[in-house]
Amino acid sequence: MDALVSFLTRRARGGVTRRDTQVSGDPMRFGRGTDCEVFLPDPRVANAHAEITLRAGGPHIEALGDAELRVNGNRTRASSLKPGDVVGLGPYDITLVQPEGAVALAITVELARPLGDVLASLEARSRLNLNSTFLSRRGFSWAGFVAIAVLFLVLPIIAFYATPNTAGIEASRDQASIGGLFHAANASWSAGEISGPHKFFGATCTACHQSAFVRVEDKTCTSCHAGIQHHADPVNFKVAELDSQRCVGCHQEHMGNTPATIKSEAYCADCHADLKATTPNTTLANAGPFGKSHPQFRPTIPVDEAGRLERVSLSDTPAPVYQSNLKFPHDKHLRKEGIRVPGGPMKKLECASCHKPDQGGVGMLPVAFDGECAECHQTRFDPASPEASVPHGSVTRVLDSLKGFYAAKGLAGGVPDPDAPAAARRVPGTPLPGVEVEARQTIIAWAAKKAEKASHIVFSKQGCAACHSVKEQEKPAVDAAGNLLVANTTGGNWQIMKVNAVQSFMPKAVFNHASHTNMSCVSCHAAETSASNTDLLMPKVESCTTCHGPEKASDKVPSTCVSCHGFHQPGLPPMRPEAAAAHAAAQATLRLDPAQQAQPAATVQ
Amino acid sequence: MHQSILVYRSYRYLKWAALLTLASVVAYALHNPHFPPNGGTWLGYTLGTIGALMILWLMWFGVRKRRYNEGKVKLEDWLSAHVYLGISLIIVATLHTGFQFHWNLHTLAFGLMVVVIVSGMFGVFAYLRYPQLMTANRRGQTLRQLMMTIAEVDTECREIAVKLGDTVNRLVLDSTENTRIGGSIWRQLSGKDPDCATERALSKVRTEVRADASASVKDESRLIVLLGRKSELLKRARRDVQLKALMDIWLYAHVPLSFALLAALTAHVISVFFYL
Repeated sequence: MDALVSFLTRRARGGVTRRDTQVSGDPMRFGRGTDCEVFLPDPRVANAHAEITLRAGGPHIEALGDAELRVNGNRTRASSLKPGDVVGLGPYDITLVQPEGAVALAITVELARPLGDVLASLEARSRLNLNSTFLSRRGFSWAGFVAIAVLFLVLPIIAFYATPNTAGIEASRDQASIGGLFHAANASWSAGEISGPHKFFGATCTACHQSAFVRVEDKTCTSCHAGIQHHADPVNFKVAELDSQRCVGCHQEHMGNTPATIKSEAYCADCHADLKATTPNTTLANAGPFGKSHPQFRPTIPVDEAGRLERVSLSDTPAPVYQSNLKFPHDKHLRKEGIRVPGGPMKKLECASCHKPDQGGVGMLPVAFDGECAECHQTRFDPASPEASVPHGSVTRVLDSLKGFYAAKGLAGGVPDPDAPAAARRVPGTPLPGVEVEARQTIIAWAAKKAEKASHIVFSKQGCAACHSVKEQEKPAVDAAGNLLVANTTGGNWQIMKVNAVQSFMPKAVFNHASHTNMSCVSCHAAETSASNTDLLMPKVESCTTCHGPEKASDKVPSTCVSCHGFHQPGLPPMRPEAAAAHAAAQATLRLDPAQQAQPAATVQ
Repeated sequence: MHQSILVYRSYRYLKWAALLTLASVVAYALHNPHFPPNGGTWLGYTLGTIGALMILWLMWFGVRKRRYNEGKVKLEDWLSAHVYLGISLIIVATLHTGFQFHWNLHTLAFGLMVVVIVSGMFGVFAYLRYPQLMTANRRGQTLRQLMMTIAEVDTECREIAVKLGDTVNRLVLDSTENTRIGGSIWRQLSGKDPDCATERALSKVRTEVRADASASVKDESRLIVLLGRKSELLKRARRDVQLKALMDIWLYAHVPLSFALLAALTAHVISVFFYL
């Protein structure tokens, strides 16, 4: 089979060049192989790609090996051809044309899809820098900026204005009114953990922060802490620093789960280091860090029989005398071998035998005669009636009890005393002799005499005066109006000096016994060697500084002023009187409430 | 003469930064506030103001570097100061916090700042280290020249392959049409292409040649040499892309996180005064 093969090449400026060759072969093979009749030098063509044979019906094309063909755009393995058909063979388009002359077949061959520029295609496939990936500095910057601004600036501000503006405890009820996302936004602005006591409304910013760009105001604090007391008596000590001080100046929140209270000793020392200079009328000593410049303790004690209280320094010489009006030698009671108990074995006492801590463990309960003393110190007065005792109480009660005791005995009869009237000595159970009224009076007169006699035993050193300071006065004690101070119908005029008990020796400080229970009492209180109750058994400051040091101490228990002293002094008027007044008014309204509630109820009826 | 930004002007800006750091540390050590140290004490406000102004100034570098020849102070001064003062900001800002860190906006701003500074530190490392590696790797050529060489090798491979068997020819065609340099972020950063058409062609052509005893040995061994050379060139090109990507990647954290920090800082400052 002879064929005319025309190779067409398109020129860049238009037009086509044509190179005709005549080939012969049967079949006529197309391929990259040099042995092919139609040589197609392109890597996309197989060595032997296809062949055309001349059949009865005309030319027929067939793919060789696993090569592919497209006839008029349709993928195929084999096909018969007619003039005008276009065969796609790799990048070549082969078009059948009407053969002219002697040739049986005429085709044009055109490289329709030439290989592109190798460099250009390599560059097109490659991404050589990060800018050509999805990374974008500008895009990411905008995204980050906007996301953070919305989440952490816009939302919290909306949350602030969306929350009802109620202060303190009320606010905790309003929390539910804003949504969870706003809550989270609010929380993101919190500068730190809220102190424990404020946690229950701490998630609601507006509970304290009532206005934007305004510091938390005192009235917000006093909406709960209305009656909080002053630091110094506002009448006698006009201190400008105290008047101008804001609550938040000392109470800073968001500092963690500790009381939101200033603890710095330097803060107190600002005034107290040289208090006398700024406040000449003060009775307080200058004070600085504990263990460095804290003055000696100055307990408040009764200094005379009348119980006049005075602050005395434990460093005073001679040692201060504690006028309790009670005789109590601690050393005798704490003897190692113990003390005698009436009708029983020796008993060894300890401090705790008499001094019992109060329920909080902070202080000690008062020592009471009936509880702690009565077991040993019995109040008997008549050897003939050892079962009888007087109550531990006032002189009147004691005397009345004595008189009553003897009168009852006399009226019952059978009194063995030869000095007793006949009516008292009669056989018990028999009627009173003579005129009954007269007989009774005789007995009562006798009983009064007996009582008077017994009172000398009761109020003697074997009785009350063993512990108490007892005086017998010639004239009955009367008050300004001339009324008897002590009921005295027996002639005796006893006066027992009031015991000057001290509940708190250092009322301006708090000492917590409970946190010192691992120490023995006598390591601070020298009770074992104290022979007299006029000894002041309070420990000196040096006793504390053995263990406690200043705020920044590294080798002792760090202790600041507020470890022992409160700022707001109990007993002083309120620090913010206007808040206290408003609070009192609010309380009054609350008390009126039932009446107000009754009215609408009446209307319903 | 080229001078590293670190030793620029005999460490002038290192000295400035050291002085600022030292002053902050000394002030913090001497400071004895009534409450635990925090951003709200006078020292806290002072350090916070210094820190915020520094952040604004450090971010202004992004503007300044686009105006290379403007301004009295040279860009090298800016960069050297940017690096040293940026690092000292970690100390200033940490002391500003008083070591109070919580899950909140304020710590977020601090955390963003730390990430920005650390990414910047990597940037300093990258700018000092990678240019040398790039120069050594390129051997005096640019990446474009390398790619041109690869294209030339490709053309030559094709010319040879067209004379060879279908299998080899197809492999070479695949190698010329599907080999790429760089690509995804990870391909750029790793400097490797686990699916490299050229490597595939090289190893398979070797096997083919060994199997086919009748092959025209001259052409085929020439092809193997060419493919080997192409593979070598590709490695260098990919290494170049890798080094460039490593030099650039930190900026994709440094710059966007700086803007996130700017937003967080703004919110932080506003929040502090909003809830005074």
